[in-house]
Amino acid sequence: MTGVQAEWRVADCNIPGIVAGICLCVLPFLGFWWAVRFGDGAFALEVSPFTLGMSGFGQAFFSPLIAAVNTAVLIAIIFFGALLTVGSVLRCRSDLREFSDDLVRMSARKPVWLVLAFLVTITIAGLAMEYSLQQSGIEIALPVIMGEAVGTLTASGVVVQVPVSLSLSRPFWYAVVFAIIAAYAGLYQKRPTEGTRDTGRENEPGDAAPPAPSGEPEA
Amino acid sequence: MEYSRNGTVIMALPLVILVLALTIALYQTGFDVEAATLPENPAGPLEETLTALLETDRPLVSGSATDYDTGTGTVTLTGSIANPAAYPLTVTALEYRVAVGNEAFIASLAAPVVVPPGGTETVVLSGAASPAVARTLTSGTADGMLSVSLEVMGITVTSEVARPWEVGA
Repeated sequence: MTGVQAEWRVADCNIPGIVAGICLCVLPFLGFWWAVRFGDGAFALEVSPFTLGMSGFGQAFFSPLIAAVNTAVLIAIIFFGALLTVGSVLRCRSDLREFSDDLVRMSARKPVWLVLAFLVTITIAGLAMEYSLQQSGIEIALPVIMGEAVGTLTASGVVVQVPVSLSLSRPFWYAVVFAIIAAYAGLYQKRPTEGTRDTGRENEPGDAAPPAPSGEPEA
Repeated sequence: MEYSRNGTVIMALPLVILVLALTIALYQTGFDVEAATLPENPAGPLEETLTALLETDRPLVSGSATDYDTGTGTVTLTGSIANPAAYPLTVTALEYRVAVGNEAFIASLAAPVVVPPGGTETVVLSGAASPAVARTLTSGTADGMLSVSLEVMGITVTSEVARPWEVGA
């Protein structure tokens, strides 16, 4: 290891990774991602992977088990956000490049999986809700993920109409953007740096970075 | 090799946190999975409200007085509406249709009325009527159809039932 290899090269930092890492640490505190509302406050469900808000007729409901899962996901995403930030910063040091690559590889795709898992979960939740309402005698065809519908219950000459709205909120779209930046940071990490060119790491097997053009002068 | 071991630890950490969080949640509820999942039924208040409105023992709307303004030819029916639910109820529309011979009389609510939880509010319906219809209505009884549209927290309940008009009922 030479003194030159141990230097911090700010230009080699994974800037998208640093941005995505910080964004991931902030993401859990931006609010709920998806909301289901029955009537005008008759029942509301506001969820994100980090929070679950449930209220019916002004009364709030709490699920200790779901809150525990939310807390675990919150800690995990902040943890991976921190890993992504640290990994992206350590890319500046050529002697820590391998460690940096590991950290970024472990954390860069997590937000994408989080968003995909959330979409699958709310789709299943929507279908389960529709089935549950139909079992209660309410005729309804709920839209998938977002949209509006009216549930109708008819009993002895009385018609009860329950408007239902499903919507994705702004923090969800922030999460999508952050996931894209984080995924891009994973790709950016594989690009050769001045430091790796010094050590010739671009020729290591498994390195996705293309070799330097033959005409390009060696650093 | 060392980085690989670090990687395993890092990847296992969120899983350990999840297991720990679930264990704590279950421990707090005495390992009662049902209580830990959802201690109360979130659809409970909605079901209670609908049951209160649909299965009430007494009619929600009852009539009590009739007044006829000969000058304008308007019949005013005064009644009351009860709210058996535990939440404020808004009467958005109330219409009473009576057929007297070949004539039809329709009395409707001028403006929405809000009934407090468990309370009763007076409702006034009015409509133009011929002296013959007015006589029938003020005489004490008449058969008619009552259409009610209620709203409780955005949930609309509409009903149309045959309801005889009884002065003083």
